Amino acid sequence: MGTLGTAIYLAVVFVGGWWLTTRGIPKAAAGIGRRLGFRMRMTPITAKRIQRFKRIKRGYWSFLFLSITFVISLFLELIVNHRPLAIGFKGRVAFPAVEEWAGKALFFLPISSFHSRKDFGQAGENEVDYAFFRKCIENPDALRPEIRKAEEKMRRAEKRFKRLSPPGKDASEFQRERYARRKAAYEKRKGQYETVLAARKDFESGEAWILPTLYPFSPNKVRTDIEERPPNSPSLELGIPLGTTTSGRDVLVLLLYGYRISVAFALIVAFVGYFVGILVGGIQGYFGGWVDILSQRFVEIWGSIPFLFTIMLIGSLMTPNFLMLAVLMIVLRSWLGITFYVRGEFYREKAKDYVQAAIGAGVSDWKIIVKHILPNAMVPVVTFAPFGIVAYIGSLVSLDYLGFGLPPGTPSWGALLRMGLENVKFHPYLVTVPVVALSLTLFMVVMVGEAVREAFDPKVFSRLR
Amino acid sequence: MNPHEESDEERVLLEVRDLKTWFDVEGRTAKAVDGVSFRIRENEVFGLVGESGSGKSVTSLSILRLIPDPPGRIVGGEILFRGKDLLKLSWSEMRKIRGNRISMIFQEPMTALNPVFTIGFQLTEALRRHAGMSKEQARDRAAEMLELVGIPDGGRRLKNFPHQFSGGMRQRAMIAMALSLEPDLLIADEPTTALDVTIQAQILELMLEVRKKTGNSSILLITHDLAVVAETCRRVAVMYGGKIQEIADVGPLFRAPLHPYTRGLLLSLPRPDKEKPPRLSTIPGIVPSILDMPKGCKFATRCPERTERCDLEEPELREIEPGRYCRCHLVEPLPVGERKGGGE
Amino acid sequence: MHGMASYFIRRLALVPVTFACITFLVYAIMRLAPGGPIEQARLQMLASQAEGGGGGGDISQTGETTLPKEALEQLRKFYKLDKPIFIGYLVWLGLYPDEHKEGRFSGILQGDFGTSYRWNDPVLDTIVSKFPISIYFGLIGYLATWIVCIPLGVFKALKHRSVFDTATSILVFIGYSIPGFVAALALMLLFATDNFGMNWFPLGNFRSENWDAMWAKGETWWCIKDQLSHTFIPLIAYMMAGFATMTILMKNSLLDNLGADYVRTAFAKGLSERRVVFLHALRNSLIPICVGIGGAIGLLFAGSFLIEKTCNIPGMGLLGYNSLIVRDYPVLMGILTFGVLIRLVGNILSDIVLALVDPRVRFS
Repeated sequence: MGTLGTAIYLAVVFVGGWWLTTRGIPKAAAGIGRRLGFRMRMTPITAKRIQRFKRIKRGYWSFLFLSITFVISLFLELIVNHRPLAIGFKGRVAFPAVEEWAGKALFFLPISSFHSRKDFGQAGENEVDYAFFRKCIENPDALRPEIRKAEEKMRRAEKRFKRLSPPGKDASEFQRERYARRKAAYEKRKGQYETVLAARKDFESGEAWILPTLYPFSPNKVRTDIEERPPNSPSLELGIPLGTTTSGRDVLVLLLYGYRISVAFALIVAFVGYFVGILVGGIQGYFGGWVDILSQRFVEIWGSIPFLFTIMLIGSLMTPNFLMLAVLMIVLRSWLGITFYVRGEFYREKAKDYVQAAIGAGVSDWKIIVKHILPNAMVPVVTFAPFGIVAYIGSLVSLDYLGFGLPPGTPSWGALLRMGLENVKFHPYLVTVPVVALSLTLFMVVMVGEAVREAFDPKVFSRLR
Repeated sequence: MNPHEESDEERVLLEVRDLKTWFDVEGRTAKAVDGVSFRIRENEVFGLVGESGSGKSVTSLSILRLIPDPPGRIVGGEILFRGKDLLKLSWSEMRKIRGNRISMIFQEPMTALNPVFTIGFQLTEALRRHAGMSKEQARDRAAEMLELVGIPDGGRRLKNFPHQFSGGMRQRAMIAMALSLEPDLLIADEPTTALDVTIQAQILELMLEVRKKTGNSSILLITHDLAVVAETCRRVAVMYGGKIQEIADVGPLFRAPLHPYTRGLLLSLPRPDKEKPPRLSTIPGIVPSILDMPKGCKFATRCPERTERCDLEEPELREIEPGRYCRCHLVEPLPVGERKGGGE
Repeated sequence: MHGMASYFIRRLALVPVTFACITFLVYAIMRLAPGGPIEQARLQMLASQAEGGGGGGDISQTGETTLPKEALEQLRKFYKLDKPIFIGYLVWLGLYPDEHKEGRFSGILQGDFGTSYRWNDPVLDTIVSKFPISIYFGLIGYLATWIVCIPLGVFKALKHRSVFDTATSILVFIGYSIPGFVAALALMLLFATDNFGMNWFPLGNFRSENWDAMWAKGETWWCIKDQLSHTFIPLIAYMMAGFATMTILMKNSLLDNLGADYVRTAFAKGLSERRVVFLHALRNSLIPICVGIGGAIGLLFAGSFLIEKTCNIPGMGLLGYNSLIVRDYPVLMGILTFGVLIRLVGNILSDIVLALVDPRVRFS
């Protein structure tokens, strides 16, 4: 693609990510919010807190870095993928990476990223070997062994076919069938041979082109281009900056996809959990009485369930997928912590004059909760969210590490760590890479959390002597 | 110098001169106390009056150098206690004064006592440190003090924890603690504000009574309640915006207040002596933020008699007549003989 | 004091209720997990009962996983799948006669946790034999955390916003960011392999294999050294769990108390700074730390899974992990029971400690 192309690609990725994170998504969210009837007016206190947060540089920069990288990672299929962004062969154009991304983003639409080999000058019916396709563009001679192989296969089929004479009238059913089968096989091999042979000319005449992604490897693909036996230590010369796993998968790719999964999991668990927690805590605090007493007992008991152990128990019964794990985490843990704070906040706020006045004036319960109490209850939510995210990333990593989390094959940091444990003696990079990645990520989240806490609730320090 | 003044000078226990205590609030400077001066004589009850935020509490804390640093610091001035500048003492010398020669009662009896130690422990701490008493001596003295402040069965009560006392009892215990070493000066920072109205008078009376029985200390009484001042004090300083606006003996102040602010304060008091009380008058507006004090007279924003000069130029605290000071452009010092309102 | 006693009686009375609720919930989750093999096994069993025949092939295909037939049989027996959930649970608890045991009451209340399907030992014995190792690390880890964190937190509070405070804060946050087992993994890489030329500690395990033999030989000194060197890495990992939270809690708690009114009173009495800080303020700020004891016990139990697996320490956690791998359900329910009990005891312990250190609780 050339250095210039790569540079432009990188620039598009990062500028795009930055723009989406700082402008696009907030604007869209505000727009949707307005549609739904929430009026987003910032109180002076909130404005001041945000200002204070921005002034704490290490927290603010961590926040920017994390959110921008996460937003970029949502488009990871377009950036790190063995399927190319676009591919053309003899006038046929396809966009496999884009299709794959769209298929995941719009999962309810049947979008397929599959393209058959035979349409792209390769032998067979399977998916196109994009890496080989690329190699052929660079050097059509690469096709030579392929042609020889195809030819050999064709000859063999031909021999097997020619050995038979066409079945006569009195030929048995079996003979007929065998003849037809061998004929079809021969024709198929012949077709493949012709395709490959013709492809060579097409590659030579420049009728084939490909626009690969920035890092053309996928998480579930083995790095076949590395000749030595895996695991391979990191090597820039070989083009494996972080090495490969014991099965030959690219660690960098796993790390990037794992980042997306971990952060997405934590965000979903945290925010859905907070939503439920606010609801429950709000009901407890607002209505009080028996509802409150009973549900508090329940929360207390529910909170005493050793949740990781329970999830592992369930994980040993069935292999939960991403969604199920998230639901389990939410149900067993993430909604609990916040209820206490929201409940307390509701109790305090409800006792205040303005809420009592609103109640007296006949304003509906729902309106009072949403308009008056909820904004105040948001403070603990915001200050706890980062630490919640640290905990949930940690939980997912722990589950995967023990092997009771996401299905095997899913790119996950926990699985990488387990591989590290198994290879701690002889392949140190398999430990170093995920440990550093996980620690750095969590450290940045903690920095954000600390900055948010400092901005929302600055510790006064006064000292007497 | 005339002899009368010299003897007066001798009797001065504490002199605060041009005290400045400033606070850093989010990168800005709040001049909570900005050039305060006054004198307290021996055996005198001196009142310091003002609304909340006027700097009276900070003034009192500055005397014992109990200003939390950061964010606050005492920037300038002198606090002469028996002629010695407290601000120049080392911390260890300061500690020998605190609780011993000058002690203090705080506004919040609920939080001013350490919740995890017994009353007895907290009462005997200072006794043992300053008077070098043995454990038994200190306990006996503490029990005696408790009885003196009207807590019966003091010996047994010493074993109680603060939360087992009511608010009034805690404040009694605080008084006992503060007076047990017969200090020269007792600083009482709004000692009754947090208490029930019915107990307020009791506690105040008790404080004066016990003080008489112990060392006849001077008292610096900080309050926002002029009625309290009228009943207890001999001299009063009125504070507003971190500055003293008027100092006078109680009688003249109440009979003929000079400063418009003092007048406003007095008018806002209910007057039981009049048959039909006038409508309760309050001073319009609110105290300006300590960060945005007006350039001229601090009271100008709320003053009914303000002139153009008041906005531009801050008046000096001038002696209007002997022993009477006022910080107002509208009040001119009068030559002797033309005093209005008359002396005592 | 009277109020205290009744308060504790009420708290204690809640323990069995909570215990029953949690174990029942987990029991029910296990049995009702949608599409899970238990559900499958139950359906299959009902079907085979209807047909009057035995089970199907060698392996039962269930959802996405396969369970060996004997595991299913085990499940069936252990979970009393032929009985309603509630009855099955009561049998497990020991409040309903067990058909498999000649109709005796035989559940955890009678001390019968069942038999490990893998090791064929009584579950209770298996768990109890692993207990001391977990307690060894939990206790030492917790004590070490206290010894490091309390002075550190106090010092940070006194030097708030100083270079020392900022530097240690970064350290604390790094500690908070690294889960204990990840730290153990990193430490093993650094100090227990030859990769960085610092192979100073053993790579996992509780003791060397020949420890018992050496002990019998009377090589006490060697044994102690061996034990300590095996303890180091897991200990650090255990400490990671509470290190950051406890340091920050200590610091913030002391900061809050240093700003409290009673500290001002103490200074106004003329007490020395040392006495005010280290007697008056510290005594108060230790209250939340002490109350954390109960919670920490539960946390250690949770953390032990990962650390024991990483460092290959044969405690409760590793037992749990291995039992999960082989789906040894009686052991798993037993571990769960112990986990819940530890947690509940921890809560009670917290209450007691709070009452001991805070007179406001004790006398009201």
